[in-house]
Amino acid sequence: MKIRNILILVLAGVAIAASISGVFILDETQQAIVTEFGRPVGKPRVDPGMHFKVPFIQSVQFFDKRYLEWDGDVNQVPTKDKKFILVDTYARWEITDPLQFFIRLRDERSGQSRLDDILDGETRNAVASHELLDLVRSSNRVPEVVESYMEELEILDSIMVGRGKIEAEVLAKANERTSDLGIRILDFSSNA
Amino acid sequence: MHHCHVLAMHRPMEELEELIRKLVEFVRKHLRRVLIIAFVLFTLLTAVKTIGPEEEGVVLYLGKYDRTLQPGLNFIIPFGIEKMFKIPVQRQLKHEFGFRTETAGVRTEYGSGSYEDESSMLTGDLNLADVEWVVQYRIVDSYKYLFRVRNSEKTFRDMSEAAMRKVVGDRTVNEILTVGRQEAASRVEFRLQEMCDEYQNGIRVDQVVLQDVNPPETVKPSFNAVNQAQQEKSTLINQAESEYNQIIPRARGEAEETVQLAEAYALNRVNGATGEAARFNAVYEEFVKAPEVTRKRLYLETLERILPKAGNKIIVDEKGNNVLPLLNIESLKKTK
Repeated sequence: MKIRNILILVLAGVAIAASISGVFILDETQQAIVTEFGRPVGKPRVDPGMHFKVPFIQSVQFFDKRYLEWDGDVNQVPTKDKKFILVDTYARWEITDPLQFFIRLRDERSGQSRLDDILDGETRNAVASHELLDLVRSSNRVPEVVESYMEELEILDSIMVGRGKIEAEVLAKANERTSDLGIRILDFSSNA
Repeated sequence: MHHCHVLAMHRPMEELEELIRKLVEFVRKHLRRVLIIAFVLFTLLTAVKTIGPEEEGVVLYLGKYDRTLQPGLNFIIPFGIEKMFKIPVQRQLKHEFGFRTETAGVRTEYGSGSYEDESSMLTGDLNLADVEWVVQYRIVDSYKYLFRVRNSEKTFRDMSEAAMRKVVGDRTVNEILTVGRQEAASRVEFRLQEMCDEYQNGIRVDQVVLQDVNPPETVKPSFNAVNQAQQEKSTLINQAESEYNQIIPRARGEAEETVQLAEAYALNRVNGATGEAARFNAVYEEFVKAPEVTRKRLYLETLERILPKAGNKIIVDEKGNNVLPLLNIESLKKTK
């Protein structure tokens, strides 16, 4: 009698634990992969709502589904004409392939640090291979001048590439290097 | 008196103890009822939601977007099965860059802190400018705002900073400080909205307003000096012009007058000379015709001219055999 009671209690406890462990809820902002003893199983779960897995054996790794921010370190970088400028960079990125992301980088923090390496490096390359004026201006637009005596002061050296294009270049190069990480970088801006 | 005092000291403590004892007894007696009431209260707290007139509530059912609630009293499934986020969609929100409003009011006070890392930027002619601006925006799509971008506010700030830097980087410092302000602001507005659409963060940019745009603090004195010099320059130019206007026309008039005088004199001389030559020629012609007569006539004419000038001269006859060997020219003149 007593043993039976205990058995029932234990079974009930296990059942509750199993149902809790077998269910997980995905938020609108999340995506997840299910792993079995550390090995990814099945397709990534991207739809929000209730999801099921094998209790105890499988575990869940959550990743963010939203656009994430990356804010680079403010850094002094020499340009091609050997002027030092403070460059503040930031980017948006998202995890496009959680499985690949999990395999290559495991979690978001290592993702951020990988982005640090890639984007900081590419930024430095881009800054070092362009002149200051190219990094500041995006176009060769003719400035508006009111005072006629200022006219000769306002004539600007024309630029070859321009900030917008440099940013696009960095973005393209960085995306090339992150293509196998399950990451897509959306936008990259540098503030000189 | 003394007794009373002691009582007053002890009573509160005793009363408190009494109260606690009673409460514990009450709870013990009505445990089930208390539990039920607590449960109901908790349920109500998690199930009943009020949404303000400027807000809307985004409801997630087990983490999945379910519905959007309108202002008023609303109910959701309690115990975390449904979650609600309130988003002020009707309110106009704003971000300040380069400064912070401390207390808004009739006389708004501004924080004294420096936000140079936000506001200091390079212009297209490689000058530094201190740009302060405000972005007014509204959250138009609460779903996108919540779930498309993590840390939407920070992202939005980053975006508007990038847009401003890019626009300022394409303009000269003079444009940013003076004529190009409006144009730059609307350009930033446009770019920022473009970026928002790209990110789908559910934000609509209402307005970008440029506030103070200054040269950086360290450059300000020089900048003022330049402005002053420019003003001085134009004053000097004006002065010089007015002096020019006074002197030059007068000088020109004088020059003209001199030239005309000279021309008149020249004409006079030439005419005179021509006349004299003509007269000489006439005389010469007469002389050639009859030299003796002409010589005499010339002699007489000359004498006629000279004698009146001779003044008081007495001419005496050489032989002196006259009664009065005197030719009184003076009296002759008078009678004439």
